[in-house]
Amino acid sequence: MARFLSLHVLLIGSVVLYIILGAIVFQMLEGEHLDALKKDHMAKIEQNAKDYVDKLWSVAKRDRDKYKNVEDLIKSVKEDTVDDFNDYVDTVFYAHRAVRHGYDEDSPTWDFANSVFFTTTMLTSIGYGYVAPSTFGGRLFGVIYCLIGIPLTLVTVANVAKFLSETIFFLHYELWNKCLEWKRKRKGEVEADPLQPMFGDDENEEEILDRVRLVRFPPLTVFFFVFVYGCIAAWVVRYWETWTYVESLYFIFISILTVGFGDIRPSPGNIWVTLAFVVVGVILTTMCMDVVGRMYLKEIHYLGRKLKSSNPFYLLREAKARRRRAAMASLLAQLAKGMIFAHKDYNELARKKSKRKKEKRRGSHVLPNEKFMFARLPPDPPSDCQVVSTSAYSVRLAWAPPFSPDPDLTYNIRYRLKHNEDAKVRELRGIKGNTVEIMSVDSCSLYEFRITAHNKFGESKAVYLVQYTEPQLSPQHILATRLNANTIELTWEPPYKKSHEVKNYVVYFTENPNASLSEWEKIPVNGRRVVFPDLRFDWFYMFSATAVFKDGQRSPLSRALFIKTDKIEFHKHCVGHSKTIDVMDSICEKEDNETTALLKRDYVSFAV
Amino acid sequence: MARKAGGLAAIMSGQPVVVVKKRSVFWRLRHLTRQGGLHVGLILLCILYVHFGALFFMYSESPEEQRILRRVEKRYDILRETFLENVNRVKLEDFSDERRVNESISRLIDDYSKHMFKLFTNPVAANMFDCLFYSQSNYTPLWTTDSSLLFTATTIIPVGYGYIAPLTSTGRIVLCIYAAFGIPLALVMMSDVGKFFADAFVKFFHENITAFMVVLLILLVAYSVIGGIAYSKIVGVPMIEGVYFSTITIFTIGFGDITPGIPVYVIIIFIVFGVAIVTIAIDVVAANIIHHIHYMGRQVGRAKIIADKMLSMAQKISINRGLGLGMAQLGAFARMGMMINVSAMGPQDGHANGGVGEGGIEMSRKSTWRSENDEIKTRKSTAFEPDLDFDMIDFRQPSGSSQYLYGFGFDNNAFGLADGQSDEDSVFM
Repeated sequence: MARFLSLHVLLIGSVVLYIILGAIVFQMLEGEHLDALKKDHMAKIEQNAKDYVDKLWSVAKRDRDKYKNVEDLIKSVKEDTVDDFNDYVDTVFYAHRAVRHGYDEDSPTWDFANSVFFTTTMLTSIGYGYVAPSTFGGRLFGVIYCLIGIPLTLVTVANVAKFLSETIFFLHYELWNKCLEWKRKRKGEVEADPLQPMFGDDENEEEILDRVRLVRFPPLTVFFFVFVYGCIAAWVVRYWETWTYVESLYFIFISILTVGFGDIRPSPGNIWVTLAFVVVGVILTTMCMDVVGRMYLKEIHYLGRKLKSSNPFYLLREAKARRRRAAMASLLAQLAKGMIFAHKDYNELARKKSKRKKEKRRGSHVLPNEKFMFARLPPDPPSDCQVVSTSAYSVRLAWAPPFSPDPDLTYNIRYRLKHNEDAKVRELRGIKGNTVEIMSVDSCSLYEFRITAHNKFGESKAVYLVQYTEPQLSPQHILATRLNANTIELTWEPPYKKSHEVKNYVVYFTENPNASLSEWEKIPVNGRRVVFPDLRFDWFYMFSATAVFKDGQRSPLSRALFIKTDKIEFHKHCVGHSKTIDVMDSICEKEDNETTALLKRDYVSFAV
Repeated sequence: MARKAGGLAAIMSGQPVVVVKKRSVFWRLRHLTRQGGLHVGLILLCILYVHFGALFFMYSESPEEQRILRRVEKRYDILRETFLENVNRVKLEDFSDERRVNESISRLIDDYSKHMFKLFTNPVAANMFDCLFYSQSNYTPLWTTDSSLLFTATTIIPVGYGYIAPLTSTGRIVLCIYAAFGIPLALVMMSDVGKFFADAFVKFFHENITAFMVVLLILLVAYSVIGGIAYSKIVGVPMIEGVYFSTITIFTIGFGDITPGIPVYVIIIFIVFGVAIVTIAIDVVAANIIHHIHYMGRQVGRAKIIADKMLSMAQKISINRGLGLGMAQLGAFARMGMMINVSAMGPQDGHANGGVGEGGIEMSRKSTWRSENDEIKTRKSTAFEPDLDFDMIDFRQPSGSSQYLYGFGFDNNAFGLADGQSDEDSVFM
């Protein structure tokens, strides 16, 4: 606690010492100059007054015999001495302008109290201007004094204001909790056990997000507090002054808002009291700016942009909004699917499409030769793009070759982290063949892949794939293949971490899409291959695997695989054969040997 | 429809969804307009606030100024006439005694000087003599359009020169309210504009905060010195006076001892940018310092407990919502599969003379598996049931749980899976 307070006390002490030293320096630089300036102006006034009196005397003496009446003599003397009188009045006015407040009955001087008042109001940027530096040394020292002192003072004032705002926030939070407890007691609810943890282990995400509520600090309370302080300070300060209450209120508010016009001046006996009230008021005003301005300024500044914040509460609120958006998106997706099934006749669409193509082709005049136009097109996008399998640090992609007039086709792949807008985009160029394994990706991350086909006439449109990489301890490169219509084979590779020895694997699978994960069926597997025969025809299945180590621990679940069985089995030479099966067959080996690599030896591998 | 039908075919065949992105220029323009609309509106609001305040104070204070001017002129004339008559009467009545005459006249002159100084404390009287002194008796009002504008601008940016100030009670109370609402508005506007430049500078310096702080302090000193030099060149005063005036101005001290001889809009623009630089400099530099000072000596262990709770909660959110969304999609796909199944059985029943035998139509609904030893078992007849409890995270041993926290960060992986799901859903819209 002593170490906690010592730095704050040291900071406040250094500011107070800085103010006092500045006051002493300004007193030395400016005090004598002000006195000399006032004496000089008073001397000028006396000189002009003496000149006026002499002129008056000589004119009166000269014109005494001309006029019998005293009134007539006064009038003529007055007319003759107007110029000298005006010079005298101008001298008085110039003296007033040169030294502000300089000729009041209690004029400010550069004594210690006024100097401290001056430096304090200078560093808090109020700046009344009752006295101001006018010499070269005073002004130069003032510039340097401000550049160093104002940041120091503002840091100190903001530090004290932060203590005040945290205290008020804490009190408000306690009051809010008391109100909630009182409402709960009045409704007769049972009190929750305070020793319970905030979040249970078996709670799902919705319950957690519904419970977390952001407590917003009310800004009107802070404004009201500062307003009441201003009214009280105005009432106290005018006790020593001849001001009205409106004047005192005006002076206090113009001071604590750091405007400081300087048209109303406290008396010398009231300087310390006024200074104390003004400094405390400036601290309260800074607390207002700190609490309200910072809170809303952050929201205003980032409105319309993605929030980049590491604050957990913002992340929770963003997660809640994202969940709402995802639910709406899935609802709209279901609606769209229902609308798609309303169109059961697909032949009409094909015929309409072909009609439009013929009309376009007939209207072309620039390229009359169809072969010429046909031969110089960029290729189509690659078809049947898919992610074959993923591991913690690599992703295997495969696609079918697209149609292209030029047989020399290469592929470009750009990939980046999906969730990070500033993520670096990496690029693979000149890929030949239909398969690629991208190494050196991060584990447990979402990646976006952009695949384009390229020939000498141009580049095709992009195809995007999104895939999530595995954790390190999970089984890697899980691959589900259909051996026949209702038989699925599942193969994988062992986890990357070698610190734990794998005893066996547990495979989770389900045919019920609405089942929760605890209701899935699970079977232990020794080895890295399992076959599921006699499954339901034309049905969706979901698979996931986890590794069991010899010390009894288990790895997290792998990424869930989603595969659909075919309809009733036909022979391949009798029905149409999908390109996907060709790609899968060309990639996968049929051998049972565990040491054989899953991909063929001629696949392309890049390490970025 | 054809494109979405293709998407459906991809899903029905079990492939991952192909996403083709497209963003038009119109979308980009609308996005930028929505981004910048609030900031431009905030700046315009400040400008309107200053101008309407200037109009209010000008129309509120001008009648009071006229009344005071007439009263001051009358009082000055009376004072002057009285003084002159008294001086002449004293001199002529006591003509023979010169020493006594000098004493009387000196006392009269001192009284007159006191009255004049007291008269000059009124700003309207000071302005009247100022016009007599410099402009040869061509009176210029205190509250003109330019002076009112400078007054309101230097009020809400709390410089407060004090060249002119309200004299009526109504004006003073309204000014307190005006300043209380205007100062936060102006500071928020300047901080908001300055934060854009701060973001640009931070990116320019590659997120190096220390270099940015140093450059910001140098920019602050340079702005003050260059502004002062420019002012001294324009007005024709010594350079120290110019630098002094610009420093006193941009730190919002505003003594008011130097009257600027440049146009009002130029000085307002100078003040706005200067105070914005000062605000951002103190915000960036002092915020780092005050963060270290204020939280020194606080409890750090408690923050670690809260951070661990946040980490585990974020991990739970990530895993649960991923599977939850998958379940919702599986429900939709299952309904779609059932529809296809029903429509597929119809034609089969219609073909009485089909080549497929009756046994082929039957679909086996059993789901069994085969392990490595090729032993065929059905689910109903299985006596073996493993006693492995499913849980997402294995918390059996406290030392083991730290291995499963794969560096989940709030910015990286906590909600990444939801993005993928959202993007896959967007194919159908």
